Amino acid sequence: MTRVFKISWDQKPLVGPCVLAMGNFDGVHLGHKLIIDSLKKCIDKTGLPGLVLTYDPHPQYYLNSKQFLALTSSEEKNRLLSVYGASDIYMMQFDEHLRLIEAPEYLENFILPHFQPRCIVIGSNHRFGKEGKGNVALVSETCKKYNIHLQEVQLNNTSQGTISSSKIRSALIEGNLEEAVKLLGHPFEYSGHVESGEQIGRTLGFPTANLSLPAPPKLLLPPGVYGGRVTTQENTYFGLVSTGFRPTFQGKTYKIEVHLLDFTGNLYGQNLRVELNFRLRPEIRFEGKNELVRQMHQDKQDFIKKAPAFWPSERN
Amino acid sequence: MDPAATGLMVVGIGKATRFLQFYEGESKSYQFDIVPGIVTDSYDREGTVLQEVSLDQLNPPLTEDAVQEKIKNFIGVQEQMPPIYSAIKIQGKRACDRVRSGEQISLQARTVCVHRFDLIHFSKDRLSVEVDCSKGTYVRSLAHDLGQQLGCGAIAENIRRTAVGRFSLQSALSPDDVHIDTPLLPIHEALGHLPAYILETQQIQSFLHGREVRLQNTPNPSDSGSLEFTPVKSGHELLVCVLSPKKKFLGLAELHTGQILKPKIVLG
Repeated sequence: MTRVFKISWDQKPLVGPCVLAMGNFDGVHLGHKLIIDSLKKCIDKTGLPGLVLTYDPHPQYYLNSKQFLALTSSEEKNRLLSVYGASDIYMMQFDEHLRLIEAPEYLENFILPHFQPRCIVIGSNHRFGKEGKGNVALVSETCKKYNIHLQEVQLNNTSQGTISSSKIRSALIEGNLEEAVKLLGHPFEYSGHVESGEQIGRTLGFPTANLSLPAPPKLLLPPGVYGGRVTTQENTYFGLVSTGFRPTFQGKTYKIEVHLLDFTGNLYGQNLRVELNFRLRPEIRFEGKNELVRQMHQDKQDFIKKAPAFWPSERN
Repeated sequence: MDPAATGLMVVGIGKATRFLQFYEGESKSYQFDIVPGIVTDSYDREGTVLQEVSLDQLNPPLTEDAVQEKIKNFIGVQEQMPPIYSAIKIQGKRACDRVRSGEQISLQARTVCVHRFDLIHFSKDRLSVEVDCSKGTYVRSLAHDLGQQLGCGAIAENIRRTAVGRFSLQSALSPDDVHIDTPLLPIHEALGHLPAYILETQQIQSFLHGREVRLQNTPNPSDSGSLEFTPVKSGHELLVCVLSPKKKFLGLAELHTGQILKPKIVLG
């Protein structure tokens, strides 16, 4: 059971001696998994409780809300950290205090006294403090001074090359979902509830659930058709997911529409977790309904062809 | 002053009460104890205990050097969060009273200045300190914040105010020692932190009637012995004591540019 603590500069708990992993953990990618693995090793070695310190909202979103796109919402982030075995997550509210605090002061007057870490686990590219001036070198210096063990996790030379959230963001924006999923180590996902849509899909023989749009700063995938899996309250289904503006029907707003394979029933109001593993094609404007329906059958065939490579044990 | 604190309080009697407002802005000095290892919502022992922290496992350990190191962070101008149990008024009602009646309140951080923060005696379970600070500084918050930075939490105890501006506890009297024949400080001496100006004899009547007085001579600070002359600003103007040529205290005035004295409080 993972516990999540929301904390802020004005409400800082005094947490006893521990092993501390700090980072932004956006996307909870393979590099972050290495950090959590390292955290778990340190927990085993020291017998101390381990905790993850992360920020909400993402500092880059706080600093520049127009430019930053998140790979995960904080709920998705916490769920993934929990899946990888993080037991206690401290979500620190990122605000003016954190924006303005100098990195050494942040370490000496917040991290050290409040968490009393005996071991700090940190990714090699993590930056913190005012203007992001705090880095591993500073943490290393501070750890030496206070006799704290530092476990630096190299994210540059992994089996996947350099892993970073920004590299994954670029891959997603370029439509290279498969590359992004490889670096993430898990599918890209959306969570939301099913809203009522225009019910065009039903008339085409492809009923779709209209997923509520995620709150900013979550990244919206470039328009296209994607393959993945959809988890409803009861079950998990294969699904085709269409994102974009529905040009064939002169749509104006971005929508995420989900078609579940082998499913009949009503999904209105339900919460869905939509996992996306690969991209089938970009969004196309068709001359008429018939052409669109032909393409959707083709998409389904393409999906079925591709699926076994992604879910070998569940081929259908 | 906090209900639980002891020490110096400046008391005005009769007409002198009108001048007490000019002490509010003065710096204060306090002696108090900081008890590490405990966090309360009131930052002293009165409130609810939120956390107790073992002092054995602290890194760095609680030593005199570690405390000296952290204390340095508190000297100078800073933003301070007052304790929610404080006498600050929110829409006319004291914050502590609002909290006691179950209200959720949020206080604004205030800009304060700590001029001196000395560790007088160190022991593992009690730090005795002395602090000189600006108006509006909460020493309970200093204790709490220092405890947070030490990683063990802390509360303030035995708060004693030792000085307000130029008055100190040594020269103060206990209320029980004040009798009808106790010599009291005259007002103009009590206001000795203000510069003083002596009027010409023919200007006195005009001033006492509340009229502006144009100074003919360059004003001279009166010869008031060992008094310090710290200009106190009231609004944007300089506040001065106004005396008769025989050094009788006539009132307070603002000194405006162009050598004009505007009466502020006049003793009838």
